[in-house]
Amino acid sequence: MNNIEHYPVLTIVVLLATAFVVPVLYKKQKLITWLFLGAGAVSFWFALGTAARVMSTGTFASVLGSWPVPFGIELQVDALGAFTSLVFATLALPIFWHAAMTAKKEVGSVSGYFTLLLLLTAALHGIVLTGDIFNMFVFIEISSLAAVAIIAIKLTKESIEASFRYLVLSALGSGGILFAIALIFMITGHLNMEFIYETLLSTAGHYPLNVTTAIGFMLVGFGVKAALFPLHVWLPDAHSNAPTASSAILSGLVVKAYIVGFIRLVYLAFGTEIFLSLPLRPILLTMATAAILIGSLFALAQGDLKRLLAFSTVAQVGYIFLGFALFGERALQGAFLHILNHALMKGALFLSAGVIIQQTGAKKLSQISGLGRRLPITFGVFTIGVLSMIGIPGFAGFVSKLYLALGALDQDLVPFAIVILISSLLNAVYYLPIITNAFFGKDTELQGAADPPWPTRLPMLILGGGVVLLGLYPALALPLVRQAASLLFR
Amino acid sequence: MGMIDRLGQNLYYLVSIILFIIGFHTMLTHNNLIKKIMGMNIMDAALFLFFVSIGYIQGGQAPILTENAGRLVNPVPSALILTGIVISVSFTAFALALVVLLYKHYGTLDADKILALRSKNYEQH
Repeated sequence: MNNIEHYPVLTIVVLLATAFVVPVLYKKQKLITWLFLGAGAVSFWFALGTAARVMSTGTFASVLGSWPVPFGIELQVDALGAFTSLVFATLALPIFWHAAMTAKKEVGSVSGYFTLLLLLTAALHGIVLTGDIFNMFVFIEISSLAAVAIIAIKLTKESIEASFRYLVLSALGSGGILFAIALIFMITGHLNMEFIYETLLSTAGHYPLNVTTAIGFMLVGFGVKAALFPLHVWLPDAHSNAPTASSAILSGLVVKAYIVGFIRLVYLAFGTEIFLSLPLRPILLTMATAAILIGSLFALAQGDLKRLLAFSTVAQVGYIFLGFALFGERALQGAFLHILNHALMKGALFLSAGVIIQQTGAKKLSQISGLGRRLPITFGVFTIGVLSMIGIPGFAGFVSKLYLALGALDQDLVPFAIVILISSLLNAVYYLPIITNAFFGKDTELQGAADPPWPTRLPMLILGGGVVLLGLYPALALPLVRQAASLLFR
Repeated sequence: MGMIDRLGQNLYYLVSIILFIIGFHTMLTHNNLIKKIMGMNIMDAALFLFFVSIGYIQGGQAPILTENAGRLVNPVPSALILTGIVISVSFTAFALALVVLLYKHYGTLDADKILALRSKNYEQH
């Protein structure tokens, strides 16, 4: 295949194009369901091709509309972008499937829901693949708007209120990012990351205020969108009140796209010298540590199943930022692995929690007593997710936590390794009682419940299987992750 | 004198920063949801002004190539901001739609009252 440089573009275009076809055919439910799933599958195939190309030949550019850079827009496909894009495409498949199975019951407009999910996924691919900062901003805005809409689409009081709060804070974050882009454009005259990096090498010294302010606004903007503590206030409500498939995609993928977008901007546009010359590292380390500990403590106090999972996401975002801020190759590998692992396990947890709620109506932790015996498969997947969250060896979560802890030790920052240990303990404290209660607790009145039919079981089983597979055989993901981490230390 | 000269040269930047702060403040401190959205728009307008004035030079012409083209204004920021305006309009439209739904459900536009109603609702469940 000699046209492989168009694969990253096609990953995005297939999803975008289908997003515009689906609402036109809204009356043909069966057809749009197949179109929706088909678009996910085709974009997965293109993402796979992109990743294979990056593995064999390294970073490549995909120029759009044959306008040469720096005037045109190009996709700058590096190992990090290809890896995250592949993660998004892979995770989107089971989540799309679950959405196709449950959309009719959970949301008002099925075709509208499919459209939004397709738009959202397309924008996520765009954020991690593009090499142009304004293009990234546009993708960020598409994904923000779609993310808000897939929460509100449930049309309940709570979901609308949560999504409005998310919208306001998200708009604030967008403002910060746009301001940062303006400040960068002011001193470099470029929007292409490669050219910004080269120009900044000579001009950054003359305009220290611009660079500092830009990075500050970027940190706040991306921090709000990625729910980095203490800017996470919108997340618990938004993620817990969304429909199940939305919760999985929001917690598993959307938050990660903003983190990767931030990492790409910091490393590729600003470069490591500027990153290290500012006090950004201690700030990020503090925020990440606070996120890990306080997120877990808040989760401990929750009585609602989905809210607990949402607070745990706040803590897990802290892990990824910690790996990024530790600034070592192994810590970065841990952070990138955690992007994949957390997406898998949180996806499994949210999908099984959604099935539990759908089959039994039990939203509170106190109501799930004894339900594990009625829904063994659903709670089996939930247990796999929980064990992986805690970091039991043999599950995916263990590998990334190990890499993060080793990364902290590489830098002689022992306290952060201890933070990871404490947080694992906290995870065990709030997650394990759910399982013991579900399997060994007293029977409640919710007796008629049973596992859902096979088509609804499969997506969560696939995610659970992925968690076990990557736990036993992490070498599957490691080559690309290693390449991504080494790339950023240029 | 030097200070005032510098301010005069950077008047656009100064005004956009002031507008930004006004919008930011309105967005975060006002309880009325419509005012929050207005704050959001003021903030966006400030950013657009800032971005466009980066490319502007005193006495510059529109960048259309003619025989005796003099100093030209950089067209890139203006083109980018067109996209920015479209995004801002769609955000506003969507936010207003959500406000309509919220008013239907809660009968008020006050963010604090909505929060109080919601937490009361939550405890009853």
